[in-house]
Amino acid sequence: MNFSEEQLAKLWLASSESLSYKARERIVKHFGSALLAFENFSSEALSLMGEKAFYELNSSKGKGLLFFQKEMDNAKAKAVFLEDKEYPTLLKQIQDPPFALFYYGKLPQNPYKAVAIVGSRRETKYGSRMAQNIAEDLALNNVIVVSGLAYGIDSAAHKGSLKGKGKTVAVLGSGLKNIYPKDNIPLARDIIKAGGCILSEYPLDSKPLPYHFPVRNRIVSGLCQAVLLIEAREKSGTLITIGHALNQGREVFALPGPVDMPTSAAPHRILKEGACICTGAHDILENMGWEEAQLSFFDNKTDTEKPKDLTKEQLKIYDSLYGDTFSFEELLEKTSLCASEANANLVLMEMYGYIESLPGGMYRRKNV
Amino acid sequence: MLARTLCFALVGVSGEPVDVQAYVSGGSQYQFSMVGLPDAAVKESRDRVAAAIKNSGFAMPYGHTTVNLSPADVRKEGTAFDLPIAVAIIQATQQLKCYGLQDTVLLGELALDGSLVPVQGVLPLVISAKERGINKVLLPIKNAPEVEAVEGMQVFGCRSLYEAMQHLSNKNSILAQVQKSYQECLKKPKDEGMDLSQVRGQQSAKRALEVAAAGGHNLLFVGVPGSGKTMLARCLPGILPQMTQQEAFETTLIYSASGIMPAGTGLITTRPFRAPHHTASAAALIGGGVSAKPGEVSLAHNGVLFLDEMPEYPRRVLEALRQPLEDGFATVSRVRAHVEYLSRFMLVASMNPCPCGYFGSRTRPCRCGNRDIRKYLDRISGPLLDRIDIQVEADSVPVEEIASKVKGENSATVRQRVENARLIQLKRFKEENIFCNAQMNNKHIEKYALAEENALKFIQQAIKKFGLSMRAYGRMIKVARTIADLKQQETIKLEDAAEAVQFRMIDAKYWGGAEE
Repeated sequence: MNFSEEQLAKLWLASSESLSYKARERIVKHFGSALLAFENFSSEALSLMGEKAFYELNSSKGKGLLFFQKEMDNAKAKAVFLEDKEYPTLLKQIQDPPFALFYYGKLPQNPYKAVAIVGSRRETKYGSRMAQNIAEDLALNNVIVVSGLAYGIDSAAHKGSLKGKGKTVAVLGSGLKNIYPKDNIPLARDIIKAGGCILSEYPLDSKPLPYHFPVRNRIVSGLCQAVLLIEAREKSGTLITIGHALNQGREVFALPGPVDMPTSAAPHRILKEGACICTGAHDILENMGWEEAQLSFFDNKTDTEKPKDLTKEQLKIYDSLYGDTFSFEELLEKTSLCASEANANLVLMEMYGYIESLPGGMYRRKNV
Repeated sequence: MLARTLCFALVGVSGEPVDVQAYVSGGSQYQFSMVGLPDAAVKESRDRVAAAIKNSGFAMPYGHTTVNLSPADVRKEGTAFDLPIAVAIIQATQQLKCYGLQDTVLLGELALDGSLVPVQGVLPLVISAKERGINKVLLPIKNAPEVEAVEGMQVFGCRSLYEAMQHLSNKNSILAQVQKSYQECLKKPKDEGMDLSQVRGQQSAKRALEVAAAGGHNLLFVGVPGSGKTMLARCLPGILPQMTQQEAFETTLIYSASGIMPAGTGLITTRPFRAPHHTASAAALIGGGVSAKPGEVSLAHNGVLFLDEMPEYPRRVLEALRQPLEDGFATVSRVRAHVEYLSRFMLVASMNPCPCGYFGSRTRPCRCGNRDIRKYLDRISGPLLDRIDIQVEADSVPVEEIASKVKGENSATVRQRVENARLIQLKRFKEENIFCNAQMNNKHIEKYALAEENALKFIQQAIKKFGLSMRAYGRMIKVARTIADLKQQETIKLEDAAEAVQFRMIDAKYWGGAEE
C-alpha cells in the first residue's frame, strides 16, 4: 500500500501513543494539515499537547516521512484514516473515533451489518457453545461479528463466525505486530483468510498494555449496531464495552445463563436494567429489523415426532429422557434395564444423534 | 584345612550360586578376614559368626581364618551368608563331620547366641537352586513357609546353628517340611477389602469394575468429590479372580526379593493392591535404589496399582508408567545393577473432573473456567489416557435422590462371573503365556477377538465421530472381547462393541476429541 505524503504525515501523528484524540485534532487545525504539521513541527507546538507526546513526535520526526512507508511495507500492514471513505461509517459517528486504523485483511465495506459479541475470558462450556452458535447464525445472515480476539467468548465468537463462512473483525489492544494472546495467532490467520480483518488503532509495535484494552473496547462497540454480552462476572472488564455501547447509542443484548453461576451475574444485571434478551441469533435479527434468512441452531424442532428406527429398549430410554437431563442411575431406575444394556444402547443412540451425554454422567435428548 | 559350603546371592529376582570357602591356617595370633566383594552387612558377619560359633558349643579357631565368597567379582549383599560361613569354619577346623554339603544350600542369618534369624529373598534363591538341580535347602524355620509351594524341594527349617550342625552331621536329623500343592496354599483366610454391596447406586461404575476385573483392564474413575471413587476401587480386590500358580509365584518372587514379605507368610495368593501416595517419586513407582529394588509397579504385579487423584501425581511420574504399562515389565538400571522386574498390573486411577471438583455436578456449581478445566485435565497426557481401556464417570447424583434402596449385588456374586470369564480367557490363551484379554497384543487380537462385521464397523464409526485415537481401537476390541466373555459368547456382537465404546466416551467428552 502506497501512502501519499499527507497520509504518511498522519501515520507520523498516529505513531505517538500518548497523543490524545483531541490534541491530534488541535495540531491538524493549528497547522492546517498533517503534512504542514510535520514540516513545521517545533517547540512552539508544545502548547498543543502533553510533554510526552511532544517528545515522541519530535523524535520520530527525525526518522523522516519515508520511514513510515517502509515500516508499513515491512509489516505488510494497511491503514485507513478518519477522512477516508473506506473508514467504517459506524465508527466515524462515535465521539472519539480513532484517527487511523491499522489492519490486516479486508475492512467491512460500508454499509454493513455488525454485532459485537463480548464476554468472559474464563468462559464455561455453555457460554462458548452459545457464542459459537449465535456467531455462526449471524454469519449465515451476512452479519459481521466483531470481537477482541481474547480467550474465551471472544475466540468462540470468531470461531463461530468462521464456521458460518462469515466475515469477522478482531479489534486488538496492541499493535498488529504483537497479536495477543499469542495462542490466537492461528485464529487471526484464519480470520484474514476468510475475508475478515484484524485491526488496531495502536502503532504497529505497541505492546498489549493493560490500559489499552478498555480504550480498545470503544472501537469494538463503535464498529457495530448492536453488542451482545455472553457471560461476565460482576465487575468484569467486558462491562466497559457495554458502557461504551450505551454512550454510542448501540443496542445492547445479553444472553441469560444459569442463575447460580458467577458468570451469569453481569448479563442478568444488565437484563434487569433494560438490555434486550437474546436467546439466539433470531432475537438480534428480529430486533434490529434485519430479515432472518437462515438459522442452523434454533430450528425449533417439535418433540412430538418420535424417532422411528429405535429398538424397544432404546425407545424406553428416549421416553425417559423427556424434558430434562438424567443420570445413568436414574435411567436404570426408570427403564429397569441392566447396566450393560443401558451402556450399549446409550452409546448407540448417541452415535445416531438422538441423545447426548454431558459431564457428570448425565444424558439428555439432543435439540430439546 | 579347607572347607566349602554352598549358598546363593540375590541378584534382582533370581539367585546366583556362591561357593563359600573357609581356610584356617596356624598362627600365633587370632585373625579373621573375609574376601570376595562383601558389602557392609556381609563383612559384619565376621563378628556374628564368631560369637554364634562360640555360643553354640564350638570353638573359633585360634590362628588365621580366611573366608572367600566365590565368584569373587559378584557383589554380595544381605545377611544370608552367616550360616554357610559358620558351617564352613566349623568344617575347616574339623570339629564335627558334615555330610552332603555339596548339594545342600545353606541360608540364614545368625544371632550372637547362635539362633537363626529369617532373611530376605528366600523364594527366588530356592527357585534358582532348584533350577540348578540342587534339591536340599537348610534355612531359618521362619523362612520355611515362604517356599512351601516349591515342589520337589527338600526344605529343612532350623532354629539354630546347633540344630543345623546336628542335622548336617546326621546326628539328629530334621524332617523335611511337607511341601504343599498350590491348591492347598489357596485355603488360607483372606482379607478382601470392602464388599461391593456396601456401595449404593453407582451401577455404571460397578459394571465398569466388573468388566475391568474380568479382563484385567486398566480403569479410570472420573467423578465429583465424595462420589465414592476410592470406595469403588477398594472393592476391586474382592472381585478379582484367583491367581494362577504361575502368577502367585511371580508375585511372591518380587515381594520376597524386595524384602517386604513378613517372615512366616507363605506363598502370596491374593492379588496385591498397591496404593502409593501422590508424593511418590518416579523411582518409588518404577524401582530404583543402589541395588535396583522393585518399585510399586512391580509390587503390584498381577494385582492392582491404584492412583487416587491421578492429576496430583507429578507428570514425570505418570509418564514413567507408560513403558511398564505397555511392556509388562519395568527395567531398572543403576550403576551396580540392571534388573528387569515383571509389572503386569491393572492400573486403577481416580480423578476429579476439574480443579474445584464439581464440574458436571448437579448439587454444586463448578467455579472453574474452561481453560482451568483443560489445564487440569491436560495433566494426564493423551498417550497415558489411551492406555486406560475403561474410563467411567462416577455418578454425581447423591444416593438419597435415588428412589430404590435395593442393595446391590455382593462381591462374591460378581466375582463368580468374573472367575467364569477369566476361565474362558485362560483356556483361550493356554499357549500364549498371557492370562487375560488386556494382555493381548495385535496378533492375539486378530487371532482371538472374533467380531461380527457390524460390531467392527460400529467401533470404526465411533472413532471417527467421537474423535478417538487409533490406539483406542485395539483397546476397545479387547474390552468388547471381555464383555462377550462375561456373556459366555464366542464372538463379539454389536452390543458388546457398543458398551466398549461407552467405556471410552469420557475421553471424547472431557479431553474433547469431538467438540473442538
